[in-house]
Amino acid sequence: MRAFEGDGTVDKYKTRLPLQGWSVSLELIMRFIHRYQASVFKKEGSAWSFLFREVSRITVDAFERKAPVVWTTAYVFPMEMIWALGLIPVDFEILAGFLSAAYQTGPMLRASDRFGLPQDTCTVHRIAVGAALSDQLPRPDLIVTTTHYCDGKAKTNEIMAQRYGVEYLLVDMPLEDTEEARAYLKGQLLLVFERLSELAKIPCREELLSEAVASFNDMTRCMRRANDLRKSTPCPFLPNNGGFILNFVGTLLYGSHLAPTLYELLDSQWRKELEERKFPQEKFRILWLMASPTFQATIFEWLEDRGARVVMEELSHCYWGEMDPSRPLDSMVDRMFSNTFMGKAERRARTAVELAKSYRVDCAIHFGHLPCRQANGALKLLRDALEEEGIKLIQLEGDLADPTGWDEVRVRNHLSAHLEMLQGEISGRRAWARGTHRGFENP
Amino acid sequence: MESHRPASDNRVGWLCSYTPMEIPLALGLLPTRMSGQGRISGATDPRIYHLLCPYVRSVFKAAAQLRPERVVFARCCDAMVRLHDLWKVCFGGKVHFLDLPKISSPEAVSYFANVLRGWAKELRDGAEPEEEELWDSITEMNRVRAFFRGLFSEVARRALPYSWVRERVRLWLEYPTEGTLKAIEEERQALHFDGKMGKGPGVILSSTMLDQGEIVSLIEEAGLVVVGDDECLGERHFHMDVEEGGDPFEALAHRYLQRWPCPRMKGVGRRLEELERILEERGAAGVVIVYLKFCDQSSFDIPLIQEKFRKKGVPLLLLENDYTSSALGQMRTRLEAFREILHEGF
Repeated sequence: MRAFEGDGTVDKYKTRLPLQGWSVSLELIMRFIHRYQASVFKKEGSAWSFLFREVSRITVDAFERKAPVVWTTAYVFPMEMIWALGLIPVDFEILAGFLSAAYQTGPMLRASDRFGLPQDTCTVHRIAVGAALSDQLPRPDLIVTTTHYCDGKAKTNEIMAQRYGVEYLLVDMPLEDTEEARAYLKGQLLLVFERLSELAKIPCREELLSEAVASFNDMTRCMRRANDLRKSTPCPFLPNNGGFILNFVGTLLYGSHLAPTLYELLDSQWRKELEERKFPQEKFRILWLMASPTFQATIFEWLEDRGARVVMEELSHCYWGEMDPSRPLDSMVDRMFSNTFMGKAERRARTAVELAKSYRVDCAIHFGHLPCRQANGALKLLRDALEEEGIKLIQLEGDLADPTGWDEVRVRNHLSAHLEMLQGEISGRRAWARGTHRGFENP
Repeated sequence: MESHRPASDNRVGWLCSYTPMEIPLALGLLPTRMSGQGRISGATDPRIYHLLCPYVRSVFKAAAQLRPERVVFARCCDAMVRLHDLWKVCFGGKVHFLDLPKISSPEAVSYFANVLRGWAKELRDGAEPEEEELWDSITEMNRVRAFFRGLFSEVARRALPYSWVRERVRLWLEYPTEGTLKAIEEERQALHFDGKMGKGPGVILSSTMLDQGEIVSLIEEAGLVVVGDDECLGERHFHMDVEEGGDPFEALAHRYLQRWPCPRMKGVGRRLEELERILEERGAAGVVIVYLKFCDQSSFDIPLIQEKFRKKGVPLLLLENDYTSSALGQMRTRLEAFREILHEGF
């Protein structure tokens, strides 16, 4: 195992951020990204640059109140409804990620502490509450979210609704997929759509959603193509676990005309870079489960230096089927029920195994965001399911948004030990295959 | 786990106060509350995530030793859903799951009624239960609710100590209803608490799962008099009867989704209203919140409760319950200081 302290390895990965140590408002951050994204990301025309230009533009529009603003949770709520009606979506979990990436979490967490929110709740939600209390977020006209994924999300929205004095719609997502459950969910989606139409001052007609659904289908096709590229060796990737960030932040664009462009750009960028042989061969293929740090954790560069590449993330998985533009609400119900993160953990574990197999991974890394009960509570089932298929699960624990407790050296030591073992196993397997092992007969 | 129960297979273990006990009772089954003895001690079981709420972890730990053959889990929170997942893998047995809505709209009531109908069928191996049996158990449970509401009303007028009533609730959860209620009534008539209750300041106790009798005792020993509560197995559990008539499953679903809500339900406003109502009705001087560590549902309500009562000038004490005994000494000191604050009229 390598020693990291004192050998200069840590320094190599230290990044100086222009915003570290400065207090900057979220609005300023978003305006800055929007204005200077080409210089910030240095890759004009890339999917990454496109995503941040558009997301920052949407957020700036929300600050300027160019249309009614709807706060929602982009990774669970059918975003087609918001885009089809010309409303502006804001997801405070994504904005909390921006604050974290810009090292602005301290004042937000302090504001949340002063408010009285216990420190054992989710940091992302605490940052969002702190940001709302500090008037950092664009004001909502309506709040809508769902009950699935986690309890904290729905509860945070309740605080936000109180704080801003706006209506709060909660879609109660049943966990059992039955005919009654589907009817119950569809009824709720219809009510939400009616309310959103009122807000947009547009007569409520389901056909309005067809175009957004068609756009979602286009996006799905491009996203699948890009994901399929990741099955190749060498696997294309975006630095610093960019695949995860792109897919997570990209949910804000789902259902808009921007989403297909995002994934077309990603697909063509990766195809071109594969042709140009820009990606080095990987030694270890990794499936990344659950969350990823939103601040600058240089662990991904470190992994890449050791030939360990994240080839797929659980949250980048395109779990849904083709939607039917002539039955938008029914299709949304189908999609929501096909969410592999929803409900019981067995389903999530099954999906992790399927992903591990189809992306031919050597191991999986589960980044457990400490306060995330629903994800970490399923760890035993995930571990058992993966290990049954001979796939090692490495557990990392940390806080995805608050960098103060992140110990890069400890994380590297932990991963280093696992990678060494993995290397031994892989060499052993190859030796068996060649018959050059020592000590035992090749069966 | 409740060791007093006979080790028969007619027990149905339950955890969440939103589980309608009427259904297993109607089918001749014995609802058995799983408390995990209200304590976590020894090493953490590596199979369960260490930052799940201590109630869930304590139940999991206790279940490794002794558990009913049938258990029902409700979709009350993330931790409970994960406990359900682990239970199936680690302990097996007959595991039921109630898809409990978080909203109380008429559509949610109909959906929950269907869920309950399905559960009743599962318990009876696919056969529809008789309506008459269900109505009998609903009437029986309404009688139990009225009985305990009566005891809590005596707590409100300082005629009975809160700890005494909570202990009787615990006994009722452990023993068959008929004999237990009779014994409690006899005991109550033989006791005369008037004058022994002290003239300490009245407080409202707000919590989720408070299985630790010692915390309630600490509050009383500090010289505070609990005159009302907002707790899963306290007044909330006995609030509102099931309306008799119509479809029994609809009636049950309506009662369970419309009653005094716990933090898991959407609409903290209703919970705050109920808290404010009992605070004013009972002339309480302050509020003691005993919050369950790692319980996200209740954690997010805390600032809103604090804000509400701070504006009204009502003193509030926040205690953290992690199901260990290590914090009890500190709690005693804080409770005594709170009593002094209330005495001096801050």
